[in-house]
Amino acid sequence: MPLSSSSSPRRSFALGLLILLLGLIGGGCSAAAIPSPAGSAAPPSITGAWVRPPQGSGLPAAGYMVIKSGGQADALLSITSTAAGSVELHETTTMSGMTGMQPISRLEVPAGGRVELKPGSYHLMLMSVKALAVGDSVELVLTFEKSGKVTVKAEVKNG
Amino acid sequence: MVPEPPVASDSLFDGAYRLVIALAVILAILVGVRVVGGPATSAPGASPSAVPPQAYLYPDTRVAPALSALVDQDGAPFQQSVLTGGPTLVFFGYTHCPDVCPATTGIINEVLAEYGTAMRAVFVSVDPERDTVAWLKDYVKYLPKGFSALTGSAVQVKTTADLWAVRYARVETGTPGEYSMSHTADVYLVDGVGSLRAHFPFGTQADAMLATVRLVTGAGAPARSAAPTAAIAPTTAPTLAPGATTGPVGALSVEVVSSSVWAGPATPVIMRLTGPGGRLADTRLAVSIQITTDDGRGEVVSRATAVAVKPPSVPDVSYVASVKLPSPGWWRMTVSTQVGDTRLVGAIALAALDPGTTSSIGTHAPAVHTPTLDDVGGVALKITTDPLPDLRLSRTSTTDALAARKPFVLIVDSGRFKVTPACGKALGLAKYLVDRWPTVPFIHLEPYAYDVITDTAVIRGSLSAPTIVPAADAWGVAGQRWGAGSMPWVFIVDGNGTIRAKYQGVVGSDDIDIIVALIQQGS
Repeated sequence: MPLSSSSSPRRSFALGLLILLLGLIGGGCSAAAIPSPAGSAAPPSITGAWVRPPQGSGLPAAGYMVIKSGGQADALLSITSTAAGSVELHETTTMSGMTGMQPISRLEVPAGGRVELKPGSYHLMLMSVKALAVGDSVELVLTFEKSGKVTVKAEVKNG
Repeated sequence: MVPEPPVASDSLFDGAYRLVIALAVILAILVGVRVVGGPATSAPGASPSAVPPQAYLYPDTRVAPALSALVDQDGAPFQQSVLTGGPTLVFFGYTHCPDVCPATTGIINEVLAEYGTAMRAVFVSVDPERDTVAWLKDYVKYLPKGFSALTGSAVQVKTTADLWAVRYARVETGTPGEYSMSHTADVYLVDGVGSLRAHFPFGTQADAMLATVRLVTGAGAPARSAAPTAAIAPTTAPTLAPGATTGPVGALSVEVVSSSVWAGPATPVIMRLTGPGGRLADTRLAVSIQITTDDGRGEVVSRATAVAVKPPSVPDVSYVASVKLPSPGWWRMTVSTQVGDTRLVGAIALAALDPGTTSSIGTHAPAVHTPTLDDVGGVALKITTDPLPDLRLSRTSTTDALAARKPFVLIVDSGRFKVTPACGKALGLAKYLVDRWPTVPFIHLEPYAYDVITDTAVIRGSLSAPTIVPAADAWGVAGQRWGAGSMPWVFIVDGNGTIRAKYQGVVGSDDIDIIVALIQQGS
């Protein structure tokens, strides 16, 4: 399940700076391109969100994404979706040769860092999901401890 | 938490990037704009280095264990000969698994698509309760073509999994009626002639699997090990139809209940036995055990007899043998008994775990004091992180039980610091079982050092590198081979202070009930 770590953060950072430079050189003030200063309360950004459709009626679906810190340390506490009866946060771990999963109540997003939800690691469990077809998108509302709600669209695909 | 991935080394871009940064800094100084933030410093990422296909091969070649006790999605008995019709990938899982199993079947799908139609795959359910034939019939619609999905009775599935050295355990989710399964998530490769050749740990990508499949099925017969290969010809159910069936010999199905079986000094193996007439329940049966090497040569390494145990709380009669397994790895256990005129014989593969530095079965329990409520002025949080502590588990120290010559059960587990998915589960089980054994102290020991800050237990060190308390260290659980992340551990000690059983990770109620009953019946 290659979860490509999409565009390099450094690349986009540089791009942002370049826009800023051009803006300044051009005499305008493109404030929108200024990266948020450390310590400010920018919400975490979510990239590459996707949901694998359930493999049978009544079975749960799994959701994955990359959560990138908005600067401050934060924690993902809960998730809701109009496409699912409930959404749980789980962690898959392997212990003495057995791989299993465990619900977790919070997922820390370290300041300036990121957390990857990917197969065999952290993931969302979407219970009582409505019929999902590859190509659909599912809206997920993520509630963070400090940043509050962040809405993200997840692509339905197999992976 | 995942560190920032290392930035792709794109030197041209890197140069431009540096230039932009330099310009930005100069400009920032000039116009007084403070540019801060940005990505965290990259940790040197462990990029998955290419693993050579040979690395996945078993050092020797062995006959693929039987799957023929099971039925497929059409209810038809699985034909072991399928494994000689082309290379086959075998995976144990369960359909209610949303993460690991679909990820793995997706990878297998890629391998099948790439290799072509000669290749097959077999999904074996470790959850027969929910994965019925009818359910699997629906499930295979979601699997790639060429996939069979197998299930059976609980005993058939357990017997089959044991043959493949696959472990699994039911894990309650906390929601009534719902559970998940922990299971060995390796993918096994059977070559086109019925030999088990390789296994791929969870997460192995399709190209790596494909390279190994091609290596194994490549030009000519791949290098077979020097071991005798007489047994490599396709066989059917080598363990479930033991021996030549001439004379009054019947098949005995052996189910191993013990969740941990150890190499080294004799380890108890709890078994349930099923003959042609059903589950054996005669407590007077003489049951003989023979351990042989599992390499096709079948050299006898030890023998034992089994004792019948029937605790009031367990509906079935279990047979417990104290079995010597010389070293970690696979051994073959042949079990025989006489029921009326018929001699019943069955065999099963046993995976012996490496005990490492943990206190050995058969030796005296460490004379180390586990802290009790009295030691800490009755403040439970100082000795247990269980949010709902059962104080009965904290009243007796192991030194008290040893002095009183009482059998005891030691549970080394944390209620709060969940280093593994099994953490807290042994403690939960102890709370449940303690009522059954009023004369046997169940003693809880928190393995990780922590501080109580106001009303919260805060681990010393971190979850990934916890500090072990001296009492847990004395039992050797955090030393070589296992380490601090191996919790929980359960030890059962008899009235003489001798360690009689130990379990690592997921432990079942039978593991404890049956050994405690065995001790109490004086065996």
